[in-house]
Amino acid sequence: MNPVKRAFSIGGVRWLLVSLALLAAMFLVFSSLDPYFGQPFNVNNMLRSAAPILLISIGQSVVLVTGNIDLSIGSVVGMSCMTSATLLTKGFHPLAASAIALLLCIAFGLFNGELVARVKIPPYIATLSTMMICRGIAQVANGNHDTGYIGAGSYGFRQLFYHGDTLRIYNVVWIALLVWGATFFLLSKTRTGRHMYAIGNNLEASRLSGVNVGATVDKAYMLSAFTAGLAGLILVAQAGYGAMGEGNLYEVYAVGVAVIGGISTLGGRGLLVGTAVGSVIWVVLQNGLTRTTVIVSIQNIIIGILLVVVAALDVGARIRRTNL
Amino acid sequence: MHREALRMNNVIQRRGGVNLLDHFDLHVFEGEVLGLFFTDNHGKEDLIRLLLRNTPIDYGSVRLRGAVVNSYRLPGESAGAGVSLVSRDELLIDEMTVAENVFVMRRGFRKYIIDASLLRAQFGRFAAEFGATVDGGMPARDLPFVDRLIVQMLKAVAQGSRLIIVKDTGFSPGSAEQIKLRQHVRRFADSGISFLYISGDTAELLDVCDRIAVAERGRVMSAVRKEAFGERDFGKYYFKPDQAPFASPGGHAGAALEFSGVCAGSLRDMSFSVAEGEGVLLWDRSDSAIEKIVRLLSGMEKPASGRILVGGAPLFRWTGARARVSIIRGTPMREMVFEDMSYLENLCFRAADRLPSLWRKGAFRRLVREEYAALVGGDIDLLPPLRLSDESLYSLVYLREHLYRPRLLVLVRPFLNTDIRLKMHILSLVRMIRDTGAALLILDSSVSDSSAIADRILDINDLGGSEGAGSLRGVGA
Repeated sequence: MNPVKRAFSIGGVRWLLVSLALLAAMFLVFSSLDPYFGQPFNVNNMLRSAAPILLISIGQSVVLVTGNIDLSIGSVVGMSCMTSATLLTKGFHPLAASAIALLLCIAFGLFNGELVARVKIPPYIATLSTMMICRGIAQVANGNHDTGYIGAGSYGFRQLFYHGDTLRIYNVVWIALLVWGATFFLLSKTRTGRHMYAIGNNLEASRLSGVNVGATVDKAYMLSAFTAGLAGLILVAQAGYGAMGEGNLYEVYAVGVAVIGGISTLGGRGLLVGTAVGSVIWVVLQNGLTRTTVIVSIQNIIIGILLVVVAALDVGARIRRTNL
Repeated sequence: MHREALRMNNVIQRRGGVNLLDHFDLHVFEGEVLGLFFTDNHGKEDLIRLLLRNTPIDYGSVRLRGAVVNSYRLPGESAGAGVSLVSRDELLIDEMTVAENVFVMRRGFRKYIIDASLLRAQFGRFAAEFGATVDGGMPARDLPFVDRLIVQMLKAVAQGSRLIIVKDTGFSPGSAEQIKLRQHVRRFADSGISFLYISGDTAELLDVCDRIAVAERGRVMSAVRKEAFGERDFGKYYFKPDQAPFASPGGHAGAALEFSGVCAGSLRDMSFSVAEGEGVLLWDRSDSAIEKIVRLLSGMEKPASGRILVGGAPLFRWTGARARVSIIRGTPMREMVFEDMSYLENLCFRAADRLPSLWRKGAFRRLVREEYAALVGGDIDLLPPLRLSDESLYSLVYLREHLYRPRLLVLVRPFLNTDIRLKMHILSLVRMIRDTGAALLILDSSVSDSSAIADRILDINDLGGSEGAGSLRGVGA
């Protein structure tokens, strides 16, 4: 087969090209409307804003690939934010506070996976329940109050997770890229990754092929919770304190970015490169609309319409393939 | 029996430059059971769709009871009235009662308030007219398989169908279920209902039908009374593999699979074993235990008691991959592939369980490609595999296991809904896998085809009974 034709036939490549074209078009339009939009400082800021969005979208993408969904992401972000900030204000070493917060998140990821894969609760119900639990933990962590300033001892923590840079690129961008690279390797080069695609693509065939469906789904949800936990740490480092409302609507952002990036909502299809492009599109759209003084309510409507169009295209493409 | 229930005149249906139905001529009289045997499955599903939904045709006409319902002159597609399908596919709502399935889940039911007791009483009277003894208040999920088919027939009549298409029941000729179904088909036919009985089993057609038509490449080659089909005339359509296709490996050292006192659902104290390299057909004539055994062997369910050993070690809940047990469902084969993976990825999917670096190292995949390209040709570069022909799909699914080298290969109804050409193809694929030393367990409700690939046939008797429940009786060796 012609290599170009073959590359185009890989699931998600066509959509990736469409996403890149959309990104380029948006960049050109916003640059023409606002001369500062394309300046290096704004681009660097947009990349920093995209980092937590990319992280949660990586987790959501992996869960979507298995044919499930994680609606608890936003609350897990909030829980990570509040638990780590509370521990930091109580004098815990940043490393210990971060580790405890991440472990707590991963435990809830495992809990989600078990509810979905073994207890057989539909994923949107299971993760909706976990969403409530985690939000409750976020609120109770500091006695129903936002935390105070996390302290001068957290300078390194804040540098690592938000303010510092390496090679003129914010550290947080490097962290997001590192997680993206590891997840990319997991999905494309490991047995677990292929099993994730297989489960989302054909659950029955996967079971009959000896795939350990429960363990694979567990791993997907744990990864999702881990990335949400990292995003929570970034938000603490950014604000310098823990806010109970952090992470609100992040689950919507995560699904939106994954879908815009070409991850199929029906499972089994999509490239993680698309998720990276999707997160940049998301941030460029938000930044561009804000800089061109489009009010938030109109921004929401535009983004909502974009999501509906993309999801409909995905379902339509799947139906066309099935009817071939 | 002289009025025609169905007449298809010179029907041509063309899609993508291929004649799915090619000058297709067929007629069925009222109260007649016409058997239809496809030698190659070409046009089979298209014919059924055409009769059920009046899909557009390119030439010819279709008449039901004398009235033209489809013609190349008529545009569009409409719901075909007066024709219903009865098949293995799930056409009943499991969580509803039988009476609800028959009366509520049909076109034309207009009542807002459903009186369950009234429905049951109506169903009892209605079923009695056709000699059916099914309890109308029973949930459909609890029905034995043959009763599901009978309920589908009752539902068809309740919604006004005068022509019923029965498609691939999969029952063995002479089995209790097949006899029961035949008796009911005859009762329905005696009351004027016509049947188009489609099966790939010539013996079943000879047993049930008044006339038999043979279709090949989308065209009816002949249609005569069944008495005219002698062994000499019809012999070429029988599935006749080499009578000794598999040398039963002598001196089986150990058991590849061992069920020991297994209880699960309707299975009671089931014990049997399959030796290394041996092929065993587990004949489930009532089709009631196959899915349960598949669930047990795929690790989706644990037995309530007893033990299952694979290669001498317990088959735990999630050790299917490590135990090297592979399961292939006969139908529909498209559900066995991963449509968003390439042919090569599909081929390597199982083998990667034993060689995880297969996904990381392109060189390994290139080796696999080179080896299997010799067997499947250009298909190996295709993507997605859904574009493959039926024969190539079977090759992909079976060769995936050939590459994997399972200890035990479980085939679930391997020949269901296949034509002779496919049967021979499957036979050669199974032979390749067995040559690797794999043991074979075939789960089927019919012995007529599957016996060709087995060394031993075991009959599951009285699975829910008390005496000798779940025991297996050898009926052939």
